[in-house]
Order: sequence, then structure tokens, then C-alpha cells
Amino acid sequence: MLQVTKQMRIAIIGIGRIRIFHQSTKFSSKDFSKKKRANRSAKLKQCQLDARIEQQWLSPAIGINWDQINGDVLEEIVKRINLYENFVTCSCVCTPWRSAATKENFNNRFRSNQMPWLMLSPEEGNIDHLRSFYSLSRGKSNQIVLKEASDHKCFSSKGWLLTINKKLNISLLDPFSRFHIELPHMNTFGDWVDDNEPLRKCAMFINKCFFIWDSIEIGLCFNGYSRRIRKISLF
Amino acid sequence: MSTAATADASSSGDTTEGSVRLLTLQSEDGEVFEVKETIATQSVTIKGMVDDDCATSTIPVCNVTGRTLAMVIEWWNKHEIGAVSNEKELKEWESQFDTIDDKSDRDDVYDLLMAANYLNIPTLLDCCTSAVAEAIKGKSTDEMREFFDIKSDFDEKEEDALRKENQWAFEN
Repeated sequence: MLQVTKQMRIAIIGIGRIRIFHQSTKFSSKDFSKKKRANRSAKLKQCQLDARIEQQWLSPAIGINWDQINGDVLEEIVKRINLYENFVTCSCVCTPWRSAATKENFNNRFRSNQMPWLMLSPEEGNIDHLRSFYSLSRGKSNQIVLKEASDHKCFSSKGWLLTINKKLNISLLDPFSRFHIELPHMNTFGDWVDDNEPLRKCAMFINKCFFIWDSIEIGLCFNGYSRRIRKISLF
Repeated sequence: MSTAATADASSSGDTTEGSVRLLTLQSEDGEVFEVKETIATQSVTIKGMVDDDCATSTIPVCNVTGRTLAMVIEWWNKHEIGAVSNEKELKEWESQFDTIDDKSDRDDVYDLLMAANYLNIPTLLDCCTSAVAEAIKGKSTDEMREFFDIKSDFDEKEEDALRKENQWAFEN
């Protein structure tokens, strides 16, 4: 039993030393220094261990391949990412990381701690269809090629953009995957009245757009008409 | 085995320590550790071996070095029921593993991840994967490649398309 504890202690002292070597004070060494003994065989073992550790430290991380990491482990890592933007950066690193960073593995998309991106208005004379989004968590703006949103007014809900153009075509757009769903034209609404300023009207008009899962419909809430929710069938 | 253990326990008068079976684990580089069965069975892999009665001789722990195995055993010791009475104290102790400050931490976490995966230790795997997810936070794709020493294996066309499509993800 005594032999076992001694062996354990040597191994643990080894870790303590490594941490000090890396100028990290995370590993508490106060217990170890008390228990150090001037035992000859222990010293010998310590020397051997030190030599091995030094060798490990000098040789650049043999066998450490973050791109060869087990797919299951990668998925577990990806599942713990909270921010969608980190999820996207991960997926661009290499093919194994890309295959782990699937949408199914991103569980936190609609969590309340997700900091929203603020969509900025388009720059004048922008021919690349770039739209800027200000990331609150990174404190800087990011640009995304968003051809589908150019010349459209955009509103957002739960990560989707509701886009409306001058011809009053409405669609839902996911800015990351650029997947979009065409919605029925504005003039198909029952109480449609042609107006001189249609865009302004619809900006005031639609307050909220949401999916109704069980009936494959989309609901539109209208501003000022608290009880009016219009359902539009998708198919 | 059990009679010998009991005899040993009665002679030393230590019933709690003496009645516990010891397992011998051998790391990839030949280092041998003797660990109490009650502690080592925190590993689902080892628990399976014990349940199947396959843990009578030395258990080789492939792909795990002695240095990492010592850290794993330290983890087991701390997570043994009753070892740390205070939950807060345990969390504080765990906090040394859940941040990756530099590349040496990164390598330690990699080794622990591999060990936790091989030995199937859910608590350690959870801690290490969270640490990596935390390290990814706020890094651009290029910074991640640099930090984790990953070379892009996309072909030129794919890489160009990715950079064009997710330009912001590559910017620092």
C-alpha cells in the first residue's frame, strides 16, 4: 500500500513541476512540497520522469492532431458552442470539423443568451451585395454576401430575415445558409389597398411573422389590429 | 482473492482500505499504477471490464501516457464520492482544467480528451470538451487553425468559396 502511494505522489509531483515549467500556477503544490522525501529510489524515478517530461516538452507535440480528433469527441465539442458565429468559424477550419459542425449539433441557436447581430443599412454603391452585421459579442462588424437581401427591406425574427422588395414580394431568409422561403405576394392579402407609399405601409403593417408548425401555415400579425392574425398556407 | 484481502485487512486492522480491491493499470509508455477498484470504475470502460471479470491482471491503457494517466487518476480521486465534501471546492479544483490559456494547456487537454474518450469518463469528457468550446470562443477561423495547429484540407476552390462566403469568419 505504501509503495502505491509513493508511486502516485511521484507522478503527481511530476505534473506540479510541469505546470511550474509552463509558468502556470494552477496546480496547487503546497501539499507536495511538504511530502517530498529524500528517498533515493524516489529521486532516481523523479530524474527519469523529469528527463522524459523534458523530452516531451522539447519535441513538438508528437501525436497531437486536432484535425484527426475522434468525430464523436468533435461533436461533443461543437455541441457546447454557444454562439452561432463560433459555430460557423469552426465549420470553416477543415473537413473533419466541418462534418462535425452540422446544424443538428448546434443546440443553442435560439437560446436567450445568444447575442443578436445588428444588421446595418447597406452602403452606397455596394456592388458585391455585401451586408454588414455588427456582432455585439465580438465588438466588430462582419460582412456577409447577401444577394437575396439587396434592394430589400429587412426585418428579423429568431434568426430569420423577413425581406420585402419594392414590388412587395415577401420572403423569409436565413442569412447564414441563404436558404429562403418565398411567401405569397402582399396583394394576396384580403384587405389589400394600393397606396402611394407601399413600402412604408408594409413596414408599419406586419408586426410579426411566425410559423404554425402543425398546419404548415405562416401567421402574420398586423400592427394596430391586436386580434388580427392572418394565416397563409405554404403549400 | 477475497479471503486474502480479508486476512490482510484483519492483520493490519484497516478494514476500509484493506477490503478494497486494487486494479493495476499500465500506461502506453509502461508506467504502472495501482488504483482502487471503486475509483477506477468511474471509467465506464474499466467498469465493463470489472463486471465481465476481465480485470484480474494488468489492464493496458493504450494511447494514454503515464503523465496523462496520473492526471486522470487525480481526477478520479477528487471525484470519488465523499472525497470532497464541498461542491464549491470541487468546482474550484476542476476550474484548472476548464480553461485553455496557452499551447501547453491545449496539449494537456488534448491528452485528457483522448484518455477520457478511450476510458469513457463522462465527467472528464464534459469538462475537457467545454474547455475546448470555451477556447474557440471569439476566434476567427485563421486564429483557430493557428492555435490548434490545423492545416486546411480543403482544396483551393473550396477554400476560396468558403473565404468568399464567410469572409467575416476568417477576419480577426
